[in-house]
Amino acid sequence: MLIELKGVKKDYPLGRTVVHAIRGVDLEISEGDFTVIAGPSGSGKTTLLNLMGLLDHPTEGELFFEGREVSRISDRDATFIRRNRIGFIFQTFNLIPVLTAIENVELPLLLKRMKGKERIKRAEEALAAVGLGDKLYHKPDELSGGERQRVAIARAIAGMPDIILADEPTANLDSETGLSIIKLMKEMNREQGVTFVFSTHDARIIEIARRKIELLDGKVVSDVVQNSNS
Amino acid sequence: MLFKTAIRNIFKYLRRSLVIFICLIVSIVALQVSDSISEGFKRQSKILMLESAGMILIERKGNDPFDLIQEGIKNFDEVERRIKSVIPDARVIPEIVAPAIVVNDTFSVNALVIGTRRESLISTKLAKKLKADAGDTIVILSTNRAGGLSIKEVKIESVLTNGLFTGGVDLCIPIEKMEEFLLWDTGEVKQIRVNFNQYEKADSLSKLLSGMFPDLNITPWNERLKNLESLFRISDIKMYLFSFVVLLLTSGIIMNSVLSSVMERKKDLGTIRAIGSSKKFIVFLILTEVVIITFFSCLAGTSFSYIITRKLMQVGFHYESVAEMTQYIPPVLYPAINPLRWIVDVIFLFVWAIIWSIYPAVLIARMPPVKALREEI
Repeated sequence: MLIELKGVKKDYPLGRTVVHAIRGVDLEISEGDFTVIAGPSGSGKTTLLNLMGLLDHPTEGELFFEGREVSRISDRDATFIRRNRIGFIFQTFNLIPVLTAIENVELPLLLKRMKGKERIKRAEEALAAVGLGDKLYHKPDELSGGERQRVAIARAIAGMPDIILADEPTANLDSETGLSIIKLMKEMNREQGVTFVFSTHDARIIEIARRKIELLDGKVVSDVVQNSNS
Repeated sequence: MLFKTAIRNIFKYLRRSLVIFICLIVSIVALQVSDSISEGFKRQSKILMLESAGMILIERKGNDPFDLIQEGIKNFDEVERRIKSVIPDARVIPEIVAPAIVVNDTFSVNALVIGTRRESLISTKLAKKLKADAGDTIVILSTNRAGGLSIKEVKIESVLTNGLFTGGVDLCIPIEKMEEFLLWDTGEVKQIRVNFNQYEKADSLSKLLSGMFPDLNITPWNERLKNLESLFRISDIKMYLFSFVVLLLTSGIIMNSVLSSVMERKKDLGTIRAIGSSKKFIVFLILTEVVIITFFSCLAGTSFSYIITRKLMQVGFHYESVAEMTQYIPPVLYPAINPLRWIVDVIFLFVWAIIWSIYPAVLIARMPPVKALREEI
């Protein structure tokens, strides 16, 4: 089991009130999964991904990463796991604007202290894998939305993480580009065995996922394995 | 890559970078130019003071400094010859006992002159010695408290045979005492002041001369004017206060600009944290930017300082009116570059800029990535 959540709750203070973003979630993510977390806005998708990505701590409950309890893990240890085991894809791509495509992909490898030549080679391969082998030296503002998200995917896969967490990766893309991005992720999942967990509320994308977890008001209302059509 | 990223960030957030850049240039110029002015003032004043007091003072041994009657230096020519053989451009200035009343302070001169309304009385014995008589004018020479020479003319009203003169209203000096002043041999060298261009050599030259002339007291300026350095330290304190104010203003601007800059790219830094960077990396990234800006600011600032100081060295600051009142302020003040002080200024500003950037850098580095990304994830 790669990630396991047991009775996880997450509360946020909002002024004088408390927002119960996650209200007791039990969940397991296995290696090689291609899972979509669906739900309307405010259902807790992002919070759940943050918890799984060790960007945040649960208020209650237990969180395990490869069997290790990580609910109260130190910032240093969480950083180490994020750096070496988890890849992130963000809704707004979150590429570093001053870096070129290849430099953006190199960044997590640099943080892993990978040597220069190997780093460049790996970044080039990752960009080639997402079909951007000819745009290595383009800066984010010289790329289209779809291309930017491809760079973000390349950045996430370059470090060969165990799991990639993608928060609404297609939300800022047109439907066609969004679909091609999801297909790319699906392809990587199938061919390279990369585990993907992503959130979306796009019905067409949900259909492609092998497993669909539906969230509503911070609770899992359904968790089904479906026959994807691609 | 860190360096490359830092440089690109500098250009991306050019406006803020420029604010820090200009602020640092102004600071370094303010520090270095004021340092040069202070250095110039110190050097010129020191030379003026030393010239007046004598970089080396030579007196006869055994004289009581409080005694008004002092033995003179008999072998002046020999002393001068020896000094010139060591430092050819030395200025050897003999203090000559004048053929007149010589008193040790201005007060006595004023008492004599004012008291007698520029007229005086001397004894028969003194009149004989000076070959002077009533109606003649004698010259009173004195060294004043600041070490300068005062000269006053006094007309002899009449010659007394004995007793005290209470001369009308003011004069209270006993005639015997006045005679005592006048018992020196005329034309005798009382002391010798030696001046030369490199005042740092005073100590070694004094030791050399002491060996040559065991009957003379030879004292360099640093033994006599021990408080001179502390006097200049007061000017240093003023400099430090000025520097402190400049640095305080600089620190505010640097911290504010760096803080705005990091807050503006909270998302980028949060992303870097999310994908696995340590807090240290973020701090390092921000500080690298500050170090680059500071490096070029110091380079440009020092160049400006040099140009400004060179210009000021040609023009100078004119203090003629002030200089008239005191002999220790140069009439025209020329700044002087002290390279060591300039280097210290640069290093200090470098460290200062880094210190005041640490807070914003640590602040953003310590921010949980989820908070930095909250609007984005």
